[in-house]
Amino acid sequence: MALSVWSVWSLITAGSAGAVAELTLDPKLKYWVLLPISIVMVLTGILRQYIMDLIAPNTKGVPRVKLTESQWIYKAQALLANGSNLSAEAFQLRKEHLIEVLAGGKYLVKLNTDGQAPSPLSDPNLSENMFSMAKGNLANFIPQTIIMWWVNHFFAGFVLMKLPFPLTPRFKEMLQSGVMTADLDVRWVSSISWYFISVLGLNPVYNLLLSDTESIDINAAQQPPTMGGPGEPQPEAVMKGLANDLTIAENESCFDDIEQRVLEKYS
Amino acid sequence: MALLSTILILFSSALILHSGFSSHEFHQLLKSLPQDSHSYLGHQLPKDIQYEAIAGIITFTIAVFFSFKKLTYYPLQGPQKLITLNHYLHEIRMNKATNVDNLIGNDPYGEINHTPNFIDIHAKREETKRWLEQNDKKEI
Amino acid sequence: MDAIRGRYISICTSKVYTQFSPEELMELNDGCKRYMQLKDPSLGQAQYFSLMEMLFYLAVYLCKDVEAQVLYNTFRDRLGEDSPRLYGMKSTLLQINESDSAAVEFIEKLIKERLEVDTDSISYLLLQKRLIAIQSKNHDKEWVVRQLLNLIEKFPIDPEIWWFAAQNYFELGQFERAVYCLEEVIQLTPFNYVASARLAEVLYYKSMRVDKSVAKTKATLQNALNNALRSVELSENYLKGWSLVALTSSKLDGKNKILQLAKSKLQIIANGSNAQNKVTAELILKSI
Repeated sequence: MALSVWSVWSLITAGSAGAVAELTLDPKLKYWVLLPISIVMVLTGILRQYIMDLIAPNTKGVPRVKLTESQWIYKAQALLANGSNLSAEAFQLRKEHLIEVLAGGKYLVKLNTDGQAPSPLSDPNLSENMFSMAKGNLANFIPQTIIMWWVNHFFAGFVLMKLPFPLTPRFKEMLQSGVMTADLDVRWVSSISWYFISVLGLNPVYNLLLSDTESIDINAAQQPPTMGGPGEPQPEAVMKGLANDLTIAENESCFDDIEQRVLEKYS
Repeated sequence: MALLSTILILFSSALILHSGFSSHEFHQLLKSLPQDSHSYLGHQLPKDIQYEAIAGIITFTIAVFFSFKKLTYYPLQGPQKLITLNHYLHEIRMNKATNVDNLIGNDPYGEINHTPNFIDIHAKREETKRWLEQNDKKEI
Repeated sequence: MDAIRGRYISICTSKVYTQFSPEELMELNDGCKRYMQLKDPSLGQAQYFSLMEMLFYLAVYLCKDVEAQVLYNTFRDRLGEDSPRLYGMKSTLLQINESDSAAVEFIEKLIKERLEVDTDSISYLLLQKRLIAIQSKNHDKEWVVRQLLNLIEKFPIDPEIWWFAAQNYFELGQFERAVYCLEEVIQLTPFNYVASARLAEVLYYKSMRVDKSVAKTKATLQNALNNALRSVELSENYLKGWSLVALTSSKLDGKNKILQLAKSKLQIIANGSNAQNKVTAELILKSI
């Protein structure tokens, strides 16, 4: 019974593809085409990573007063979040002090042009940002173009392999670029398709090889946490909001039932 | 335990690789048969290759579990005696997880609590110089 | 190998080597150098550099000036000079090679020219702290505290400054202010059980020395007990926490259950911890 089902299934798959011509390919193709293209792409990926490290922008700097401003905002948020660790009187004391500081705007930085977003070309920080984005895009784009040209130049004019999955005919002109026959099934592809598959799939390999060089962006971690770029909530509004939150905040001290909790926990 | 686990990992990798190679050879042989014959359609991967692959995977999993070691620590100060805890996994709850810190004498908030940026360098160097002089006197 | 690496990295991240005696520093220096020559593959690059920074400071403490200079040069050649930790190292080297005033001049110049206008979140703070540390020898504690408060106004969320301020207030005898500073530390690092225990300790001293009326003493002791209980809630076998719980609950009435619990926990620590803790726990049990 299983045998007949299997035979029917293989007949169906064989028949529906419209005579999948079983071409015989040179077995040496995989050594002379697949491997070289893979090795070249892995190596260019590593090279690109090192070049990106070299041209990466430094940490941005901000005036110290802006740091102070954002740190006072964090302090109020810390009091709201961690106030349960304090006793009731301590919380009350700090609450009043912070409300006074925030509502009075003691540490606000005075802006020259109030509330106007600086134009992207004149603000040095923003333009540096855009420039680094452009550099990054370029660094990705150039190797792709070069490798595509190289593959099309040296590995053109023959069918390389059979894809294990079917595709629509639209891909025919892209993946069978050297061998344009009308009837050949789209599953038989030329070497440029191996390039596309590699581009989509080599990221885990890069992660494995490059994990030593700390691809975590230490620069991003060191960026000064500031508020008030164009479009973000301005520090003055944030401070007023926090002052309001503090006024209505109630304290639930962790000390209220602590003796009971500790006794239950450890006996 | 570690030795057993290494042996089992090597053995299971050999099993998996061998079953892979056998399967490759089987498919090569299958291609050389005439396409329309009845025997072609009926042939599946022989059972012993399948069992070999499955056995390889199971042995590999067991070997990985054997490779876990009990947690070991050295105390930060004092005589360097290796402390071996009785379990393999780190604790989750904070009050239990900090037991390790208390055993080895570590302060996880040390960057704050020991105020490393406010150390008086000259005082420390004086202390070291005095200790060195004392040591020299003892030797002499 | 794992345990050895774990030990060095713990010492490095917790900066506990700043509290070591010269003998332990010597041992740590030799041991760490030997370990780093083994080129352990599971030691990441960032950890390797942290260990190297620790070796720099060990060389400075042990009066090995040439070695310190060599390590600094390695860092500078590899990473460039424009980095907060490298500024810190350079100012330390200036302190020991030339004089304190040269280091002070260097830091002040750097801060005034560059960092008021263009800094990241670490450089300014680190250098200001070092400045205070260098100049603290020539001034009394009150001056130090004033400087710290100044810095706190500019950088309110750095717990290290608050802790050092608490330390100084404690030595000056101003316990209430020390309590305030430690509460700030706890607010910023909410699971810092060491800070909770220290707060309990400071409150205990306050109740012993400063509080006059019985009601005030009781309130302070209760506060101390609460903080000590918080520290043991976060860490089961914390010796200092349990000893403070036992001490404060023995001075208050109606806390018998807690006192018994603390004593049993101290007995457990005395039976099965590392050598130093055992001795201390037994001493404490005897004295309560």
